[in-house]
Amino acid sequence: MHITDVQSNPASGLLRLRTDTPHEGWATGVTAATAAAIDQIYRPLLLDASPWERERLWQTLKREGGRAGLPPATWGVVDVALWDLLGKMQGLPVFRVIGGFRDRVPAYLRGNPDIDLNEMANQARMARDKGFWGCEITIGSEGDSAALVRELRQAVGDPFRLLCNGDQGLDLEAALSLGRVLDEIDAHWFEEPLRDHDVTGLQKLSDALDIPVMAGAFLNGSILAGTRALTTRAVDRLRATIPTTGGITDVLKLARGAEALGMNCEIDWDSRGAPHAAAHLLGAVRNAEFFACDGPDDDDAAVVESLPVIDGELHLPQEPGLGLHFTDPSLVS
Amino acid sequence: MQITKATFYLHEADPQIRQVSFSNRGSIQKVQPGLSGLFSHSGGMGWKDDLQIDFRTEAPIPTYRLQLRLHTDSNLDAYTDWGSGFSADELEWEAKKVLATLTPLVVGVDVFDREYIWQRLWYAQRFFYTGRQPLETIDRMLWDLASRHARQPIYRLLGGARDSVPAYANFGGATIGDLVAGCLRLRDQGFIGGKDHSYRGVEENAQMARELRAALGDDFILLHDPVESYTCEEAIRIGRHLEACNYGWIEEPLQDYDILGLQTVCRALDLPVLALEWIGAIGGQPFNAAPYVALQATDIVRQRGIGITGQMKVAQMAESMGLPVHGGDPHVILAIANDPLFEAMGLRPPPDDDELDCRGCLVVDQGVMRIAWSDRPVVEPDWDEVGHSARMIIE
Repeated sequence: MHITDVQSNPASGLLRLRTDTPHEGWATGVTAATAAAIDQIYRPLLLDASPWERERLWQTLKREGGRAGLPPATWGVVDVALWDLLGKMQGLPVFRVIGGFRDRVPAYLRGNPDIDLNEMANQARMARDKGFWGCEITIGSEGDSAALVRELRQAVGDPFRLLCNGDQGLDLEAALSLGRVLDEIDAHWFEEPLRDHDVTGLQKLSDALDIPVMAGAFLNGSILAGTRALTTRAVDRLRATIPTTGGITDVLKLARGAEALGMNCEIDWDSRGAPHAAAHLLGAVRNAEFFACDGPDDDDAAVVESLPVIDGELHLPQEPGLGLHFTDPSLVS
Repeated sequence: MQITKATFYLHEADPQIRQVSFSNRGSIQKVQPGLSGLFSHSGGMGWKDDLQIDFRTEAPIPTYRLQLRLHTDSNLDAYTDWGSGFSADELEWEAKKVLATLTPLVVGVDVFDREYIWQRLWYAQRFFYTGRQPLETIDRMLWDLASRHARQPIYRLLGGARDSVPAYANFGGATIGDLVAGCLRLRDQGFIGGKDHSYRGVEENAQMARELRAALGDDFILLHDPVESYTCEEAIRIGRHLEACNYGWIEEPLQDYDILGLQTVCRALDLPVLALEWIGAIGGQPFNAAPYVALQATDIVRQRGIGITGQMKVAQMAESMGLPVHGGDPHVILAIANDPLFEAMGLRPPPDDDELDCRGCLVVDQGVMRIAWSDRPVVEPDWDEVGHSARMIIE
């Protein structure tokens, strides 16, 4: 069995691997730049290759992609499509191809960042009432963030998790000052407070704050840099985003490294694609806490149907592969 | 595909002589007292040629074999040999203990939820003090089932990284001359390298290294394994000699527990240091290996993960932190890119093609290790026949 064709479509964001069997592998979130990289660099490496040699392909794509100066997302989407294909070949959902840990994952609501305090409070209360395990609040560098998070805590009540995301927008002084308030309101974590590459600042922040500091999705050379951030305790939890950090293979290796160090690797996904790859990884590892669920407004233009989140829990697809369902069947023909 | 039930079959096996003798104590006698200070003793503990300790039965006595079957709701079950011994009673009660403590943790679980089972049985090690064997065995059963289900060898299910790996083998000898002759034999057999197990102290081992390099030429890979018989200072001194002889690594220079000593040796030497075989045997990998890697107290991680799943965790932990691993299951080795050499226990010529099935079969020849396999399905056991022939069914 071998790969016979590699088709990427930046308009739909879809990648399709065809084989000499009826089985195909699909991935989402392919940008125009990624599509160009696939056509120029990866396509010749994939044609005629056996999908059973996934690790050899990953090593080769990563090496050649790295030499061409391409980011991890470019080989990441190809890797995701290979896992989809391997799941279909075995008649198993991807999380069970890796080795299943669970088929339901607790979810938090990844809310809309561009809203005012009232809307944020409403969003958090809605998340709480719908059974979500928490709600993300995105902090900008402007305005009185300390007052905002205190008021949000007031609005949703005590036990509900507020997950704070700095969106890499703060400097160390501002992050430290806000972090003290996040400690005070018992926020669940502080994600991307600083630029990911500021590992010195992150280390100082992690040491100073009681709540976990989480970062790392944008570290280039992501696996080695990511584990280094863990061993030096520059972060308390590692953030890995598919496909920004890489494919399923990249993030699985990061998660295994973190597990061996007794730490969590929290897996999420870039909303330009579908959440399926992240969801299956969450089904295969112990050391990740939550699925990041986008709000209902975000699905309008989706080419893939969203995954069911019921009473705050993601239910993993049980069908072979990633379980992608296309909203427009003509995309698949 | 769910696990529905666990059954043990206790079988009678071939009678054997039961024996323990002095030479079975391992290789401690080869470590000469006082060389490193580790094994010296005022009373002169050490090998005595005239010492005869040999306990044995006069004739072969009955032996027994325990087989575990995990039934599923499909037409494929997971099964394996669990253990063997000279006492049917002990094996029967071993089976009952496993049925009372461990198999309830896996019955009702999907056979492909290996991570869940691995994590459960990992903690069961703590709560039932099981040791590593139950997790090792059950994880392998599940991978074997996945292999038969997909009709592919395990290494391809893991994502094949390569089809063969260069192989070396071990050699020994009572004198340096014997060691050189033993290593030359390995080269004649096609191996690309050889590893001694020599406990002669720094000066003699340095002499050995020079003679081996002279006899084997520049291209042959030479590896040194003193089995934890040096002090930290000695390890650095021998390391310099080995570097001069272009050795590939030094294995277990100190005992694994000496984490600061290993860190010192790793920092001093250009020669890679391989450690963690002994401490890994206890079962703490990947968790106790990761801090050694983070502290740079080893350059190569001896693979001691539990089960296929555990070995992948160790390999991926090491890869994620930029190090190679060494050892472990051939399927795991072929599925990873960070294990450059295979340690062979002798040659394994390929079987005839018509003997191959999708499980695959270890082959060591022409200087490489590979898995020979075909897409032919495995002939499944006739469970009625197994039940009839068993001495006892325990469930």
